[in-house]
Amino acid sequence: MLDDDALDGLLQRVVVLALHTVATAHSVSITVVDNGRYRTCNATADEAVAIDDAQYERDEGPCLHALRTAVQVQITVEAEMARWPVFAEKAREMGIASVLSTPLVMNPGEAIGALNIYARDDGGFPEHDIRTATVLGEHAAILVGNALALIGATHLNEQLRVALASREIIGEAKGIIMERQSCTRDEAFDILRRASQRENRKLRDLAEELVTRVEARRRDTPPGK
Amino acid sequence: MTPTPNEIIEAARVQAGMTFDELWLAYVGLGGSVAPDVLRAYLGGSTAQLVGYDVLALAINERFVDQGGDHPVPYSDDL
Repeated sequence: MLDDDALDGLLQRVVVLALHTVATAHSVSITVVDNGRYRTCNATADEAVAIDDAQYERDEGPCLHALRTAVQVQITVEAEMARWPVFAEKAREMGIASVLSTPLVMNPGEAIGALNIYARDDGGFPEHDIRTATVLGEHAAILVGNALALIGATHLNEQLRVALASREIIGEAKGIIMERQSCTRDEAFDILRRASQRENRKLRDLAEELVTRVEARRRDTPPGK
Repeated sequence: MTPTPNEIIEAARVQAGMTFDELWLAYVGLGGSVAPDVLRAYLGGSTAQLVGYDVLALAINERFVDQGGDHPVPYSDDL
């Protein structure tokens, strides 16, 4: 999920833009919820990935807090030593002293990711940096949200393709039965359905067998015989 | 009170753990023809339009077969 090249490029631009427009930023990353698991999809530096990973590992930290509550979180590492020790330890190791995490909100109260800004200054973030992060977070939310919708639609298309292929083969099988038994379409379906129940097998599989058998016989029988 | 055919289907769908979309796709795959909104209305009991009861029953039964079960949803000749 979320490995589409175009989207990846756009999200990378968001993190780079955040790094350049938020004066206090030392590194930036985006956390997404991927198949129910947290993952860093883009980052400007390895230190951001390492601090993100420390949070995923313990399932806690400012970025996950922002994501879960859908509320922007601003903390200093020093103040969170007791609350999130593993995160704080990793952040200190990387020389990070402040974190500003902005939830990517699609529907009110529901975040689909987080834009994480890591700073070396332990004085927190000035008001205009917080505003910039908020605006960038809104843009990133649209990108991530569209990507999720696209993935959902692609998945549905695949399911629909499977359904239509099944429908076609079952239609052919019904046609064969109608011709052989001089029956209606519904009666042909009932014949297949009863066989499916009796043999505890999928209707589609029975239909496919029948069609394949008939096709093979026609191939083996020269026309006119 | 005896459940109506649409109530049987709706209860079976929930029991099989199928979403509405999954049921509609399975139903279409088996030759079912009504649009999603008509099927939704049928399951909710607000239409008497014929949707193909046995196709729906089979769609859910095949899910039960996937889960190692049999065909617990009755077909129309057993109702």
